[in-house]
Amino acid sequence: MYGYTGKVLVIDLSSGKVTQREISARDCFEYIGGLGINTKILLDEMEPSIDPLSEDNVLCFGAGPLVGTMAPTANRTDVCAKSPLTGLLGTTNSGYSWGPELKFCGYDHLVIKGKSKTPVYIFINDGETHILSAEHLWGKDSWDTIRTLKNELKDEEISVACIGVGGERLVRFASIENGFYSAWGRTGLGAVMGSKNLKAIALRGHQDITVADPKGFQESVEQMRTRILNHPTYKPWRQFGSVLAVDIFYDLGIVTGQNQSEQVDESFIKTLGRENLLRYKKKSIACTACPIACGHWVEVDEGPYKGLKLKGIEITPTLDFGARCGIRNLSAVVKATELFQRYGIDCSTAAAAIALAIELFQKGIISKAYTDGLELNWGNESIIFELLRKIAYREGFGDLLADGPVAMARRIGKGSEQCLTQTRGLETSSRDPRGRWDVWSFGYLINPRGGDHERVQSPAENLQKSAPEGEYFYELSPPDKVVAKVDISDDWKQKIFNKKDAINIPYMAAWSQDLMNIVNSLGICMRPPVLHSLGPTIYSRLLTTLTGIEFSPENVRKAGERISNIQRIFNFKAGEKREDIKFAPKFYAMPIRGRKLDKSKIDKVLDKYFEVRNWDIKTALPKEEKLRELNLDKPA
Amino acid sequence: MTAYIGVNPQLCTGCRTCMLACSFAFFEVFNPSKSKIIIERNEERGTFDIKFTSDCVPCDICAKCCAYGALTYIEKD
Repeated sequence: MYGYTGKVLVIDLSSGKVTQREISARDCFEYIGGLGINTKILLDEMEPSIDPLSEDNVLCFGAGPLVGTMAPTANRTDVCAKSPLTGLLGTTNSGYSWGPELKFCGYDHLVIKGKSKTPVYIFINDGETHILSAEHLWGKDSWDTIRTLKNELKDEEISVACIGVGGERLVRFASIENGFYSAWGRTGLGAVMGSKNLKAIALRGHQDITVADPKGFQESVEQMRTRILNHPTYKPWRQFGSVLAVDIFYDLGIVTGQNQSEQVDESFIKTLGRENLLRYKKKSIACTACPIACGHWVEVDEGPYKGLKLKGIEITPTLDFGARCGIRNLSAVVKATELFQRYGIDCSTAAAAIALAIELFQKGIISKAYTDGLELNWGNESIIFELLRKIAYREGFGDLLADGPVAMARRIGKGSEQCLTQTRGLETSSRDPRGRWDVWSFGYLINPRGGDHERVQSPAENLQKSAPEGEYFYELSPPDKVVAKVDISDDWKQKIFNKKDAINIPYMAAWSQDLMNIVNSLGICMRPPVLHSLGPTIYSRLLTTLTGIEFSPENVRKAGERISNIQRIFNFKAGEKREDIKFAPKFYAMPIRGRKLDKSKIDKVLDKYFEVRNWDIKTALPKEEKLRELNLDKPA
Repeated sequence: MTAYIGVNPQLCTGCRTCMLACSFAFFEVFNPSKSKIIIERNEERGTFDIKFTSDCVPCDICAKCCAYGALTYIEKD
């Protein structure tokens, strides 16, 4: 095959058996790769109702067809399994060099089944796969693990995915660290690795990725690159990376703090706003094949964290530890970044568990008897870092936090569930849905992995103005000249922009969700210079010239839609009902600046979204007509 | 006339687009191990060393695709 390696490597850790199989051209056409084929493998090869920490869980790594080529930002790998945090589809996406290296080893997907009796790591050296003892690595943090493996395999160029102590101790939001720079953070798939006694997967490959139409592919890559480099968001993203949006969200008044209990005050932006980055940034860091380099090499040269050097300062830890937990010191956010990466736990859920604990302590729902004698206050850096350590090691009070905020509130009781900020089991970002209702906020609700912001990203936003309060079906559209350039097919444009100066949220949410599935299946990045300047038209050209399989823009869109459908089928089979698709009670009950979410109005938008998808509004399952159209089986 | 590639490692972000472009230009495949330019990444220090294989005959392929100004194609009489 061209573009694809055409091979899936399957490793059964119970038997030690290693097998290879081919990917069918039909699966490539219908699911593209990465996230899409991963989800198809899960549905075909595991029962979604299983215990996610049992040996029955299947862990899939999938690098999309563009990964390993020079298509800009083509470096992303999606990892899927049943989530031990949410009980739903676990899916998490990360870049840098691991995905390209998997392709250079000769594989598009890696599927891990079963459970090893003793700690092991996997080393894939081109076509050779070794399952090796990891007894000497067990207990090491992620960065020490990577360094040890590079030394013992005598190769600085190996790419390593590994767990830290968090994954070993089955922290339900443990991450899989992706080298020193990145992580598959969300939905706790590090705990799935830990449950399989799998410490790390090291890769080294030297094989070719072939191209069906080199000249045509080169032209498509040039076109993609030109659009990204000329997009208005390119230069600011080059300079600030994701923290660019910290100021934008603050200016809109939609950042909430203290576990999403109040709007943050001016001290937040003074200490954590984007200009503060420049005090620490020494240079830019890029993932493979990326022309944006939104990553920053930062060095702290003063204060208690002096000497700290790492790739860091992103919007997510800034909101999580700054807004949610109340820290007002950017170098402390950098320190938190080092800790959650070394421990191998997800930044956002860790911060949410800590913030919930602080809120419950402040309200008197829990006392020092619960917290191992710790006094929990907002913004206390040393206490927050101590809680991170306790979570990773499941020590004392940390054992309670390590099961995640929802389980934690259930065990504590006494009304603590009213303080949760989780939507479908995953915390909602501190860019608060009560601050501004739009596709982004509605996206928290329909994201199949739970309520975060990364799976429903609109390619057209108006970040200058918000729609009037009480409007739930529409947000304001950007200027016509921006809309004209967005790559959305004409039939969808008519539905999305069916009212003057407005975006129809249910239609745009469906389009955006399918678009994100395409992006995560191709293996490219969703940063605004990419997401806002590209769409199915150029993706179909890239796929056709790379693979030799003829894709039309509609084929690509339909693949994204098919993936949305099987994600919902997985969650239904895992036990999620229509009525479970709702925000945490806090968002409906507690106003921010006088605004809270109106559940009855949102349910109407949700019903319309199901109608757009041709899903049954009672079960949120695809109707038979839709299943036939997408060549899908009826869920049993 | 001779040509060479001027390098500025401080501007290199480690993206390795140059390595992918080099293998694609000469072999029509993507394979960094076939590239004549080599970016050695030291991730713990955040530094990137730029090297060339002994059989690299400088052309402008790598410099043209560098988005960061780390590589410059220079011709000299």
